[in-house]
Amino acid sequence: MINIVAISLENEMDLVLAHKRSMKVAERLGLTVATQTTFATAVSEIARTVIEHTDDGLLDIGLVQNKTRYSLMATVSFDKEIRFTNADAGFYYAQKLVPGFELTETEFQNTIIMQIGLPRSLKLDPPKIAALKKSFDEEAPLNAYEEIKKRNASLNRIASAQEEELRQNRLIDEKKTEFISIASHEIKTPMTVLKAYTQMAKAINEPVSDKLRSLLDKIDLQSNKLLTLVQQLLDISKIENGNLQYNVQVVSLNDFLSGQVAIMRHILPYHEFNTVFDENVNVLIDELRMEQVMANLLGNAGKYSEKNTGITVGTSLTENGMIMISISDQGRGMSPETTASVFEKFYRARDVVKSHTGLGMGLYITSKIVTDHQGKIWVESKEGSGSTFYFTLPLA
Amino acid sequence: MKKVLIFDDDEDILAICTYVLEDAGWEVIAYTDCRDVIARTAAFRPDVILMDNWIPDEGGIVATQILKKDPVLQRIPVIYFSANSNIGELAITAGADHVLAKPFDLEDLRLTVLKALK
Repeated sequence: MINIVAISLENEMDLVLAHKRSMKVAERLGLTVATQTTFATAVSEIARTVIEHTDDGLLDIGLVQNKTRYSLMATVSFDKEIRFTNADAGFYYAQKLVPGFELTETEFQNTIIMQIGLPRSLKLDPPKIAALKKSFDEEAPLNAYEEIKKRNASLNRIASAQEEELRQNRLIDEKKTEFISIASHEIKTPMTVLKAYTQMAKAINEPVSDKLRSLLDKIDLQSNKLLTLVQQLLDISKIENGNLQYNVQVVSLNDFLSGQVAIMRHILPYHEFNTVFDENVNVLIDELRMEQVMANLLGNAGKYSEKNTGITVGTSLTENGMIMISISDQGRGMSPETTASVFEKFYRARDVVKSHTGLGMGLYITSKIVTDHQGKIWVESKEGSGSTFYFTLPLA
Repeated sequence: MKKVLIFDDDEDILAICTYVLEDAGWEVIAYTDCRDVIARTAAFRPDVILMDNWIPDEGGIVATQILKKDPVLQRIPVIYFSANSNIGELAITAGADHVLAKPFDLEDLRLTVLKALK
């Protein structure tokens, strides 16, 4: 069928529309007033019967070509649960009115098709039909109800287009995450091999020159850096998807922090580490994730301060029953703008972009881990004299 | 001499593990796929098994599950071995006894095998 008008059948006002539109289509086709009325009456009888049972019926009026002749056709489709019999007056009378009447039942819906053959003298052809369809599309609404109905339909179209766009975006996001996860797995495998061969070369039982040994150390160091970056990328993609997971356990805080400082002494041998601990407490943490936090904060402290300066790790119990951990350096410090933005994803201070490498992922991940542990993180800093990062953790 | 059986599709990983574990004084057999896992394990009678996650044909999860259903071979500790970030969940699904995340330090490899042997 070449559709000309469609009307959803929801309430009595749609009956008026159905009647008026049926008349109009028949009139524009040049049918006699008697035929117009017959067709419109049959359509309204069926529309009324459908509206009595459901509010999601649909009326389509259009033309259908049977060999060389066209017929005016109306289809009314409705829920497959609804069955009409000749006991339904509208259903019974409509059959008497139009020459072509057919009820089809499918597994999705039931449809009533009504047809009136059109005389050849009308000389319908595709361009004429297209023009008719266009005139109905552009026609002013019959009444305020139809206007609202049309607007509603167009709003619905926009809403479903937006829904589709959202769905597409989600799909792209899922693909991106999957890609990052596979890519980092694929990068990690050769990294494992590279790291292991380097360690094997370092441990070899043959005389190795100091020069070669120092080159191997450098390869080892750089492959560790690369691994950290891959891990951070993976963490960011997990944070974005809300599935960074934690395996928490009770940990003695001072022992944990001492262990972290001891590891850092090896990595940053030219810095002077001090600890100023309050009384020891137990905290409920994911140890691996918290190691990441300490490695990030201590690593930054070393990265942005000169050799032979001090880095102090302290703890202090707060009034509201939390423990506060601080990491202070005597480095270059940060401007107030940087201080305000330093925990943002991919943020890098303008003055360090050229002098210090980094992607701006570390502190973002750190702050996420701390807040996921129900803690807070902040920083106090003075340009030229150093920064202190603080974070709190609830007691176990 | 303790025996270690390794399933990993990466030749370099196999070479490294074999090198480290033989250096520690263990006997090692390695396969690049996990076909015939029961027959191979039964023939070698290892003290510990290292199982990769992404390995042909069925993957480490299925291979480990098959091993853990065998009334005799289920007693052999399996170290699950992967660069996947959710290695813990994978190991639990597989029914493995220990995990070793890639990339690993050679010392970690030695220590994890030692721990599994206990």
